[in-house]
Amino acid sequence: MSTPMDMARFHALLDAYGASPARWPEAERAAAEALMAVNPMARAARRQALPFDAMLDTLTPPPLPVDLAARIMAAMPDRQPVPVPAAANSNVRSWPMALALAASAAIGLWVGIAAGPLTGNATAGDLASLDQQEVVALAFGPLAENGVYGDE
Amino acid sequence: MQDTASDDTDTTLIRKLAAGDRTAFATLLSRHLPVIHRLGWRLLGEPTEAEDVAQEAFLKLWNFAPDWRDEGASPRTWLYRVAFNLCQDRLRRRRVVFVETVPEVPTDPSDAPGAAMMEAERNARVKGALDALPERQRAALVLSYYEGLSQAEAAAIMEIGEEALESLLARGRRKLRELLAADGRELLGEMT
Repeated sequence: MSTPMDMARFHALLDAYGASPARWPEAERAAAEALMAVNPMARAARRQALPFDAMLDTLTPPPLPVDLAARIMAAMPDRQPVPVPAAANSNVRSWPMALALAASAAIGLWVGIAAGPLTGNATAGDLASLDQQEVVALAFGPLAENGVYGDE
Repeated sequence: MQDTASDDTDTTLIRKLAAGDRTAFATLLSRHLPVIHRLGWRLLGEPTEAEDVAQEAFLKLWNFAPDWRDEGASPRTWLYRVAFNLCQDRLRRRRVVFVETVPEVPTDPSDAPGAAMMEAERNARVKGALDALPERQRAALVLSYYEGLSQAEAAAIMEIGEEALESLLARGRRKLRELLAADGRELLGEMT
């Protein structure tokens, strides 16, 4: 509920902003209109302010030159086009990259776990003593019974 | 192919501008060029200067777009502020050169026929009176009364408080009444 407005303030509004409620400060508009609704002097004061507004409103600007926008466009310096920042488009394209990163992390974790019992305490000497088949088995799990190395 | 939809917000268009999207610039021009041109004309009184100010303001927007930070001010308010400051610069330069010049009625309506002549005459008289106002009073009236900006917006552009804005508006309207007093009865009679 806004504070009731007195006639002095109502006159001050008319003097500064004119007769149209749309131009009055938003915070005071309701109070001013409430005053007009109950006070004939307020309504009369507004009526007296209308002709001056009408006179000011006769001022019409010249038409916008039809070629002004084109002239401004032509005067624009070049700027190398760059990709629009993600925020200007949408974030729908970011999930494949996140998925790829997550998959890489999962593979790395799995390799680490698979090699866990040895690599946890392994030294360079331990690893050097393993043959190629053992290293592969540590990294990728046990080989098939009949062997992946075929002819070996 | 980037799609600059006409329903993009101004802020989205600014981001596209930063990326070099000329179509976004064209959309911003179509939205705001008429009001910026009108503002320049009302503050400067010269159509050619209003065009120059509009061009400068939009080129500043193009150049500033990569550094744009979304801090609450809309591109529209930013353009108003830049155009307003450009007008103030031009008015300051004018003061130096034409300090003794008395504002003149800008058009000669004598060769316009009938009702069009009367309308042109009214327009010219009001324009002459507006141009004769002290700059700050004219600026307050243009931003608040003619452009319909809120008190907060107009005061922010002029870098003054809302009470000071209201004082400028009241003094400006009072001065306009005085300037138009001789013509006022006749002008109002023609309008009724």
